[in-house]
Amino acid sequence: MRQIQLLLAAFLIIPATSACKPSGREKPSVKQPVAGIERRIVPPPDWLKSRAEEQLATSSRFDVFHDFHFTDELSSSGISFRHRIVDCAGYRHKAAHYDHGNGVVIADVDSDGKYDIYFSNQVGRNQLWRNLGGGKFEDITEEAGVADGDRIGVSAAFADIDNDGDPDLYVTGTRAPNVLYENDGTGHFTNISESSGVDYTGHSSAAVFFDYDRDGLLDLFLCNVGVFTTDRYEKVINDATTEVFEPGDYYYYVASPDAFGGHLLPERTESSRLYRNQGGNRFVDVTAETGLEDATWNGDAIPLDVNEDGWLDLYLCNMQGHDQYYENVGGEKFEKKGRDLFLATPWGSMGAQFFDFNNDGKLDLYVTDMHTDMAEDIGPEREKLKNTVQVPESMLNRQGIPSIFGNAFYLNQGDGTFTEVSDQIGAENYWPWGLSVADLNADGYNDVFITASMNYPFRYGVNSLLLNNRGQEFLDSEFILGVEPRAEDKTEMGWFEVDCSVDKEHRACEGFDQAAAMFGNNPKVTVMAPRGSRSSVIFDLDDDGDLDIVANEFNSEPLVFISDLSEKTSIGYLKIQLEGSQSNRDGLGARVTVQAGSNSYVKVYDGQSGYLSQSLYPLYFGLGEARAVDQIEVVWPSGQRQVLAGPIPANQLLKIKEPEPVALQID
Amino acid sequence: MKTSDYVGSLLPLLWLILLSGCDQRDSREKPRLPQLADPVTVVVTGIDFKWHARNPGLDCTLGTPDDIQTVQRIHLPTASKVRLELHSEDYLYIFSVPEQNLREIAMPNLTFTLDFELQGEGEYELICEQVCGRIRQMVLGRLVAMSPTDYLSWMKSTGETK
Repeated sequence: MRQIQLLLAAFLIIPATSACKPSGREKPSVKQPVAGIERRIVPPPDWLKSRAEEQLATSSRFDVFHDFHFTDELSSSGISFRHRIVDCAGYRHKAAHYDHGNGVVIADVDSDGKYDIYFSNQVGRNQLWRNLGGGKFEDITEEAGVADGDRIGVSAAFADIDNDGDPDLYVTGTRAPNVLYENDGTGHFTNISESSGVDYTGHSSAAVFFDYDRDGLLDLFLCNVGVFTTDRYEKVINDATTEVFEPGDYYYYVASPDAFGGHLLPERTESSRLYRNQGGNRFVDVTAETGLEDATWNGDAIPLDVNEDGWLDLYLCNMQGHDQYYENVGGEKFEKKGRDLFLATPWGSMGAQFFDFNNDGKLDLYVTDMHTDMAEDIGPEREKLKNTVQVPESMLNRQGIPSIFGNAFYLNQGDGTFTEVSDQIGAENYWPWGLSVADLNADGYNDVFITASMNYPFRYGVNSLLLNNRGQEFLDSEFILGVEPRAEDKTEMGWFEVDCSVDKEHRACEGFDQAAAMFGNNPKVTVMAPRGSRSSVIFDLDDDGDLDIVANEFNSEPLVFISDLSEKTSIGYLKIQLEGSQSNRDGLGARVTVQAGSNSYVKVYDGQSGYLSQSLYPLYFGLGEARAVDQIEVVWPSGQRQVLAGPIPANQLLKIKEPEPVALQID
Repeated sequence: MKTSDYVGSLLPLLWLILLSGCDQRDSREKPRLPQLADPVTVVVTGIDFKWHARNPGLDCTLGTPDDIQTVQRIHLPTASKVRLELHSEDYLYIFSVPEQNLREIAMPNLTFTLDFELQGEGEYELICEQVCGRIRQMVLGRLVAMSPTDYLSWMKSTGETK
């Protein structure tokens, strides 16, 4: 027993500062109260410095442009949103799906040409921040009517469900009806959930709008995780660490203590749903009739036309088992073909993106795997390696099918098959959630930002920024480009407070008596925990031509990374905004090919902006040295092919409208 | 026959009775080598991050009054077939003894079994790693691997003190 205590002491108890006196490293932009003794569950990441040095030393092998920098400009942005968590991820921590956090989405909600940000929150209001230009924002949540502060939120999706030219909003939650808002075009929203038919109540996760039947109306695929809560309904604890959040009493359903094994119990299955848009802002559940009843623990999904037949298929991320791929058969049904095309998939998938990695005109699939990293403690030196996973087969429940224990990257071979190359191209990382893909250095190749880190009670993990080395490999660049280390080295924060004179059995109070004597017997302990991100979106926030990154954190304020690329070098880019006519107004599902000299760039507009998030934004094509494009081809969801001949000058926002169908006149 | 000879001849018989464990009544009628149940079945349940064990008592039958219940110490014989029935009353656990290459989960409402033979006497930490949602390498108890003789002695002594 003594040995156990010593072991715990080594991990648990590192008194840091005296009461109410922040340490020198704690200079947050917002109030960060510290009550009594600080305790860390894990040591501070002293490995960050050496990691940074090692990565900086690799920059000499970079062929790609990397002489630019991201700076966290949260304080100057005016954004004061703070994400807040339920106690199952803090004071009463247990391994459950509340730790997946929330999405962040963008769209131009008021038609002023600037992209506004909507942060989803777990506890407290979601918030809509209007882009004022110049990197400044203002909170318009209340006047927009999209707060939803009375429920535990999860994800958000912008989509024009009625083709009237403005982004509507769908918000999911845990055991509260999901909400559909109709936008009046000025950024004022009306709750139409009940009449819409998509006010599902359960353990919802991501929402994916796509036009599966190509009737010009966006349908909805709603990802449902599985039953991970009990019926216990409790109030979220308010303490000194939560004073920085909006005041108020909030309630949540306590997570099941065995939630992480829920996939082993069929009674906890909660199938994802497919809703067909019937028009008139009404949807009908077609899950069963289309064959999409899926029992996996599905947190996110992406629409993708794998077989290039014009019908959007679905890839479902299963966070506890094999992923699933469903092929769309003529917009009438979906056939499960996961094992045919992707035999081995990540066991604990979170996010996925479908994009062209090497500019060969073929779209590749990148899947991030977080849950596998739950299986064992991986040190900083092993983050780029696959997990060795010693979890018993009974937990994996694989039924003899192989898995990948880490991220997967499926390179499209062009013959209907994919080859998994994640380790060859450096696509592995640690504690990943979802990914955002865009050309951050405008060189014509898609780069990747992966939100990562698991927060309390685990060690700090870095967000990953992977620069695409001309389609050959990904280069770790988060330190080189300023994403890490965090501003002011803020890798930890007060997570919750414990009064050890009351809750003596709390794990944070182990060995408290000895420690307390050193600090005047103050019974209050503030438990420190690592920061971490969940969802991100990449867009030109300040309209200066380069791409910026916004991340929704877990239990803290967002990251607002502003790029100085356009100040450091002359860049060529083209932004393309689509407007469907026959197709859905957003043009979701369109495939756009830009030809610039001998280079050809392909993107599919799917709105998949990051984990738990779907946004509406212009496609961004980095053009490398080119300053004009020779041709743009758009294949619309309707099937119509539209070609715009060049030269078309670079460095502009180009709006492309789908031609109206030509009426045939028969005499 | 001298008294000492008489006692001396009884000693082996008494020793066999002591060690015969589960088959005590039969062995009185027909002395034979020490014998354990085949397999030795032990129920192990995770409760609040501690392993609770229920070993059969001298009647070799689980679920009877002479079962031996322990917390955070699981006693098992070496060189014998063992079956663990793993349960949980709350969290998802992993029963793990890397040194013996043993890993299995315990989950409420489900029963998982581990069949094995322990090699080597000693004590092993029962560690649950990150999957338990706790600090890395949380120790949920200890496995005490004992020779069959010591195991039988432990059964008897523990049973007698109940």
